[in-house]
Amino acid sequence: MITVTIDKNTIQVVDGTSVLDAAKQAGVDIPTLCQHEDLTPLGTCGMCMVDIAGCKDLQRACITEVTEGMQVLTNTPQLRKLRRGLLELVLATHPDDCLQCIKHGSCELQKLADRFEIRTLRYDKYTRGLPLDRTAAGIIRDMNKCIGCGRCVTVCHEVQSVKAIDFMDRGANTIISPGYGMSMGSSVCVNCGQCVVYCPTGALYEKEMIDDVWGALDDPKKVVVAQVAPAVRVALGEEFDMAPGSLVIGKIYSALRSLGIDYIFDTNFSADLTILEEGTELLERISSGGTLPLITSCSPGWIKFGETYYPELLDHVSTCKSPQQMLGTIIKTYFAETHNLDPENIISLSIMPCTAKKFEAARPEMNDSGYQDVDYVLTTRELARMIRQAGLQFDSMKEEKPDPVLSQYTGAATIFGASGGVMEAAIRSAYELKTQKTLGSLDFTNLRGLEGIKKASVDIEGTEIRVAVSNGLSNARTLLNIVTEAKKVGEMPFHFIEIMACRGGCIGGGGQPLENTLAKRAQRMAGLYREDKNLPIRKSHENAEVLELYKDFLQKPGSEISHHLLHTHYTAR
Amino acid sequence: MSQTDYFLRFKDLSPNIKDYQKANGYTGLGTALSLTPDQVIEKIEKAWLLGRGGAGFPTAIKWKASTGKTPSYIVCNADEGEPGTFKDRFIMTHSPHMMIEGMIIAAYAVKATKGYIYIRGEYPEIAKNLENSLLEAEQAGYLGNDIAEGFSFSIDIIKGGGSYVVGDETALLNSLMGNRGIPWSKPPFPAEKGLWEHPTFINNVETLACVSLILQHGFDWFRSIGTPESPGPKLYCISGKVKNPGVYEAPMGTSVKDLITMAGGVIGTLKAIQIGGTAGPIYPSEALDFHLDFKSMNSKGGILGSGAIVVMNTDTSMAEVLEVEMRFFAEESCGKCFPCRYGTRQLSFMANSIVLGKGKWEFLELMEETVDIMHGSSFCPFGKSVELPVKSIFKFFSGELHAHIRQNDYIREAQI
Amino acid sequence: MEIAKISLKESNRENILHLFHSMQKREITKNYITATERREIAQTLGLSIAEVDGVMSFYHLFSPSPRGKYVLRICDSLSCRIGNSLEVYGYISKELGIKRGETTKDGLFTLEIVNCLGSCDTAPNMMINDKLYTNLTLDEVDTLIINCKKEKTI
Repeated sequence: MITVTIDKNTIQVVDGTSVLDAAKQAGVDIPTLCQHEDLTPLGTCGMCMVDIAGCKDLQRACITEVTEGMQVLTNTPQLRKLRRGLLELVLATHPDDCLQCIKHGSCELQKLADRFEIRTLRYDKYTRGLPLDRTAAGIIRDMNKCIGCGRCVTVCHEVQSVKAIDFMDRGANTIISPGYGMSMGSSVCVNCGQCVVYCPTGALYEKEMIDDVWGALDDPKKVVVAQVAPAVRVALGEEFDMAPGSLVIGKIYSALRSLGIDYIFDTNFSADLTILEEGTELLERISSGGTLPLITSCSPGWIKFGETYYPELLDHVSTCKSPQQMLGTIIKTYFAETHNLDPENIISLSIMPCTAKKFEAARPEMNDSGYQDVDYVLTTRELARMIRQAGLQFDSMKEEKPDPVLSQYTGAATIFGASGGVMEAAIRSAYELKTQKTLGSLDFTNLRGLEGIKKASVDIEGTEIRVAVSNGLSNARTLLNIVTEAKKVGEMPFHFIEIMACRGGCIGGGGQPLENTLAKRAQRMAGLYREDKNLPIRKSHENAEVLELYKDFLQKPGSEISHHLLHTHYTAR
Repeated sequence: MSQTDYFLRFKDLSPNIKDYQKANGYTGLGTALSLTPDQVIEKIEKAWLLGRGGAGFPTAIKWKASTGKTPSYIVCNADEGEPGTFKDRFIMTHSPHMMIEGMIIAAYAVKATKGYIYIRGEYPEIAKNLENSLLEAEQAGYLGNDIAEGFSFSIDIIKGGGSYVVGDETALLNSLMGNRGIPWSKPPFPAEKGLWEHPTFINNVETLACVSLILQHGFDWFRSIGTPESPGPKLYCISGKVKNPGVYEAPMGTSVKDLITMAGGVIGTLKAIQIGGTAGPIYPSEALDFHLDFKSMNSKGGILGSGAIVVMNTDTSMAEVLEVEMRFFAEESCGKCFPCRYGTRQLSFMANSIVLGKGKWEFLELMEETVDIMHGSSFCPFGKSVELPVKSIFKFFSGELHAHIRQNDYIREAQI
Repeated sequence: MEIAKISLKESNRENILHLFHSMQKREITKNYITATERREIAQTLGLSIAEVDGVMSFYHLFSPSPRGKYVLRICDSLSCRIGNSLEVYGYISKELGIKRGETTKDGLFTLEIVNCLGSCDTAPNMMINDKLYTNLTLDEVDTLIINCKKEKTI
């Protein structure tokens, strides 16, 4: 432990603590702008400068570690002047349209400008005058509002290893870009939206589809059918001051009904469906010597990443579509048929924690129903906006139920939203379907949590089935490199791998409520596992509505009609 | 041989190794190899060689951080970019082997396994000639495997891409590794974690040349020249309004007045002198009495820096000087940190406005505040040093700036 | 240039500057690096396009778009400004009809203003491609431009 004095408080902190964190422990909130608790600090902005006794120069609290007996001043006249000056410099390059900005009220630059009362701007104002980049499927970039803090670059390089963007040019011309004259749509960007999650200003945000959905709801000819992803039900409440992890699915159904959605289903239904299809695929590959490891395919950010960086491993990826896409297809075929609806008039809408789902829905091959299987994808944040625009008091809405046929779900389905959830769900069913025995415990806790790579092994009838789970694409890279190296020497370290693009899994997706910190992701995950624990049915193969769908329409997992409607293919990029 | 001829004598010789050896070149290396690495460092310490790149850091102290871990690297900083500085060009053109020999001695002393010469991209012909010089040294057995028992060393040349800020140590290392040329925070220092996190020792061209001289002539010789705190000969670069601008070799501590005399005297009437490069203060004629060594210049609140002296006369507009220098900082800022990235551009705007007669009175205070912000929060010495030229111009030549700003008032009034 | 020298060793990021220089100077008058070449560099070094372009755009010597066969770099740092750099710039700008950063329509000349070229005692200074021309007079500038134009017929 180290003794350090922050202003007038002397406290003890562990070795390696930054001055910034030490100050927090001492109850002092040193202002920061470019720093984020989840990311490696770059020391870019200078807002956190502090005066350390014995140091000739001021130091950045975010990248300076405490030393024994350090004395830090955080609020001298010089430091106050410095902070105001830096904010003035940044604001001089920033557009003045706060009232029209999507981040109005939640922008970190705005909050600092208010905190330090920047009432006048003495510098000449200049902005880049660049057009918006709307070419990525799920993300919009407004480089006029970029302050060059570098968080997005850190995420894209270190956490996701996609490296679609980097700093370009230098000095005041510094800009973050996918390359000379390039737009995001033509880059390797996978639309995971983690950059959006960490951006402090309105420079990065989701591609909104709210107006399209209002249009569909207002059109009397259209039948709007919605599905809600697992990760949304433990996060939407945060937009209405509820704790992260609060299970609000009943209110979500109610809100959707109040908004005018005609039929409300649940993506958890098709998550159970996916387990039956994918579990069958896994068991088949194992028994018939097929390509192993099998790799999950429900994370569209991961799919584009795989198509870009690991095209040689594409035959490992499950041919199963994601739950979102499976349900979209079923809605416009089976559901339309059995309810006398013209699929032409059905608007298939999904509520997702994810920006890459907007990309997935628009993939050219996603039309096995004969129509675009999923028409619009709304992120959790967008749904919250619609609820507010409709004047609904979300936190006091009564719990309602979804519509039958495509909405029943098990505990196995709901944990899809957490990293390791798909794997756990798959094991619960694969084990019982193969052995025809009941699993002793349904909880595979070593597959849960925020750790980047998690491994486990399960004995299925004497065969040790080895599985691995990764979240965050840098960890996917690590895992896939292990697989690639092993293949070269004819080894197979794993039978089945779950890959999620986002840290923590879908609950950390690019469309989730901000702040989308790792700490909140942990709370949301806990919410999903709580729901799983409390549900009466916790195994996908016991989902009655899913079994009914097979009986009535799909026949059995892996059937020809299942293959036609519920499976897909991939393209090396 | 005169006291001031250790560098300049090579002007009349060819840069090839034969001429260098005839002038007793590489005997320093011979001496070094007969000692232990620690003994070599001791000689450099006794000579009290201070780095000639601009920072004036004691070379021996830098080298003493070596723990013999491998791999470790010696980097020659040949990214001479400080305006007013052209001494490294001189050395690399006329006596490249002085630098190479110094680099090999340095490698031996710190037990480095590989060397890089990082040369600015604007010196392509010099880089090409350096390749030949390295080949010559290799053929003579001074480079390559087994230069001595247990000592192998080779040097690669890396050409820069056109950036001033990569003259800074950590920015240079980043650039060398193939990254953008932005600095990183110290600690850790390069001697502990430099290239690819291995120990790295960076020295300026002239510093390495001095190393070979010290091993050749001895540390007593070195200390007999210059001042006790800044010993040795120095290559001063004098340019601007003097009759004979050029590189002049003189003992450390030579006065500005003497140096200007050596350079043929001022053309016209002296007005201002900038010492230490664009990142140094600009003084009025009082600076004639300054002594050009590290301690004296620091005591005047200035820097010796690279030893660049730019002389200005009454034809020079100080508002124009401000504009040229602010534009330099804006164009060369690496852009990593907010204060420098945004501050240099605003300073450039304001200086430009002033010289064009569009300046506002508020700019004077605002420019001072801006350089204060940059001094307080810039990530590296680049941004911190902008206050030196700005504040000195404001202190000594504010009259000219006021005249330019008043011009704006007159024009506005006339329009009313 | 020594493209042949770019061997398998070059799959290390520290070779990026060497590759930029080599690609840009495939012919002495090429003076820029094409998008295809940048992709090649990315592939060779195992970097993304954003990373390669990010490094390249940091440096002012490299250009992603075509420049003239002769890149004229006039130094305008303090000593050269005191030494009449603006006169040289103004003259060339008028002669060729282009401003800073522009290229003549015949693709022969690109005019650039740069910072200190490290030859302050011989102000005003200008580089044409890799060669440095010092102590420039307007007459000398004329001759240089004429000579460059003559190369056009070779």
